[in-house]
Amino acid sequence: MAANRGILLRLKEQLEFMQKSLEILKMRRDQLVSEMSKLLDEIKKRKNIEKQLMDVYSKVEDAYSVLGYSGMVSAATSVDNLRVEVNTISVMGVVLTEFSIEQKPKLTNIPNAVAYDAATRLTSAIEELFKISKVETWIEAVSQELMTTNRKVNALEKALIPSLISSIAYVEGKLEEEELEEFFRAKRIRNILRRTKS
Amino acid sequence: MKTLLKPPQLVYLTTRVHGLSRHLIKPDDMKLIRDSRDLNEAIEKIPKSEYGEIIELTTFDAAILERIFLERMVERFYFIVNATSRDVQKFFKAYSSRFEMENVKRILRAIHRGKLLEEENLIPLMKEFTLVNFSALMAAKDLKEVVGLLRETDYGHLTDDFKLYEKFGTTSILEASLDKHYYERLLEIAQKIPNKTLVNDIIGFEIDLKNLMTILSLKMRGLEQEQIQNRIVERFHKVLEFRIEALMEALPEDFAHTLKSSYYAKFAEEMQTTLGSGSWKEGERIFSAKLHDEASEIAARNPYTLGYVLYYLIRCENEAKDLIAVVVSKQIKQL
Repeated sequence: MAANRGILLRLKEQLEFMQKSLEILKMRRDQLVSEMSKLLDEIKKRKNIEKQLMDVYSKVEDAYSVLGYSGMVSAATSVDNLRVEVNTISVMGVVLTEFSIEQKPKLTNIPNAVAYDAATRLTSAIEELFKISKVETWIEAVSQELMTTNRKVNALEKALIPSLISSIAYVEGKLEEEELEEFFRAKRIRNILRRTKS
Repeated sequence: MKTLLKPPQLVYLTTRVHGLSRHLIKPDDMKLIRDSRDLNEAIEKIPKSEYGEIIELTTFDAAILERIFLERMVERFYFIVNATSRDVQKFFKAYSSRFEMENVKRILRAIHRGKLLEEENLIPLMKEFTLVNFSALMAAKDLKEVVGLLRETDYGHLTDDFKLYEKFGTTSILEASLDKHYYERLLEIAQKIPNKTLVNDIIGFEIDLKNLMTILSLKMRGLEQEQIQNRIVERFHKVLEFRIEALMEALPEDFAHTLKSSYYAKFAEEMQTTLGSGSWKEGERIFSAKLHDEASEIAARNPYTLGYVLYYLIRCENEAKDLIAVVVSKQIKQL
C-alpha cells in the first residue's frame, strides 16, 4: 500500500465515516429490537385467535350440517365479497406490507340463523387473522432487517474498522519513518554543507 | 245421520301412507347411523332398499349423498301428489312447491350478488312438477330479468314486490313475499279438501313456529321492527297477533317472557335458554322437533286423515335433513 498524507487523510475520513455508520447501525439495531419485542407481544394473541378459529370452525360445521352443502353454497352467494386493501409502508426503512379490510361483507341477506351466526363469527375471526398475519409478516421483515443490520454491525466492528485502524497505523508508521529518514537526510546534508564551507 | 265412512280415495291414500311410513328410518336406526364412527360406517347403516343409488357409488362424497337424499325426499313428495286427485292433489302439489320456492330463493340470492349458481346447488325436482325454467333464471343478468321470467308462473306476485326490493336493496323482502304467498295459497286450497281443520292446524303450527324463529333471529341481528314486519307471514294460529307485535317490540332477552302463558311458552323458554348459550343449531333442532311433535300428536289422534299424510311428509323432510346432517358432519370431521 502506498503511504502518503493523502491516503492517510482518506483513511481517517473513512474511519470516521465507518464509526459514525456503526453508531447509527447500533441505534437502528436497538430500535429494531424494541420494535420486535412490541411485535412479539402482539403475537401472543395468536393463541386466542386459534381458539376463536376453532370455535368458528365448529359453527361453520353446524351450519353445513343444518343446511347441507347446497344450502351453504346458496347462503354463501347471498353475501358479497370481502374487499381487502394491501398497502406498503416503511418503518425505519423496512418496507412492510399492511392489510386492511376495505369493505366488510354484508351479512343481512343470509337467510338462515345458523349460517348467519357462523358468518358473523367468521368475519370477526378473519379481521383478527388479518391483524395477526400483518404482525407475522412484519416480524419476518423486521427480523430479516435485524439480521442484516447485525451482520453489518459485526462486519464494521470486527473486520472493517479494525483493519482500517491497522491500515492507518501502518500508514502513520510509514510516514513517521519517512519523516525521520527525511530529517536525518536533511541533517546529514546540513553537516556535509557545513563541513564543505569550513 | 252423519256418515262415519270416509271417501274411498282418502282411505286408499292414508292406507298407502301407513305402508310408506314403514319405509322411513326408525328413530333407533337413525341414532345408530348418527353414532357411527365415520362416513363409511354411517353409509353402511343407511337402508339400501330406500337409498339404492348409494350402492353405485365408488367413493363417498357428502355432496353427492346429499343429492341422493334430496332426490328421494322429492320423489316421496311427488308420490303422494301422484296418488291423489283433484283438490287434494292440488293441495299436495302446492305443499310440495316449497322445494321449487326454495330453488327460486337460491337463484334470487345469487343473482342479487352477481354470483354464479350451478344446477347441483338446487334441490333436484322432477321436470313434470315444475313450470319454472331454472336454467334460464340462473342465466339472467339481473333480478329484474329473473322477476320478468317468473311473471307467468306462480311467482308472478314478485313483480309487485320488486319496488320494495329496490327500496331496501335486500332479497329478504322477496323471500318473505314468496313465503307469504306460499302459505296463503296453501291455506286457500286447504279450505276445499277433507280434514281441513287438521291440515290447517299443522300448517298453522308451521307458520307460527317459522314466524317466531324469524322474529327471534332478526331481533338478535339487531333489526328494527319495520324490517322484521316485512319478513313475517301475517297468518296467526296459536300465537295471537298482539303477541307477535309485542315480540317485535321486545328485546331478544324478553322473548320467553313475552310468550309467557301462551301456547308456545315452553318452546320459547327452551329456545331462549338454547340461544343464550349461542347454539343456533340446537335452536333449529328444537324448531323441527316442535313441528314434528305437533304434527305427530294430530296424526296419532287422526290416523286415517290428511293430517297423517302431512305428518308423513314432515317426517320425509326431517329424514332427509337428518341424513344430510349426519353425512356432512361425518365428512367434515374426516377432513
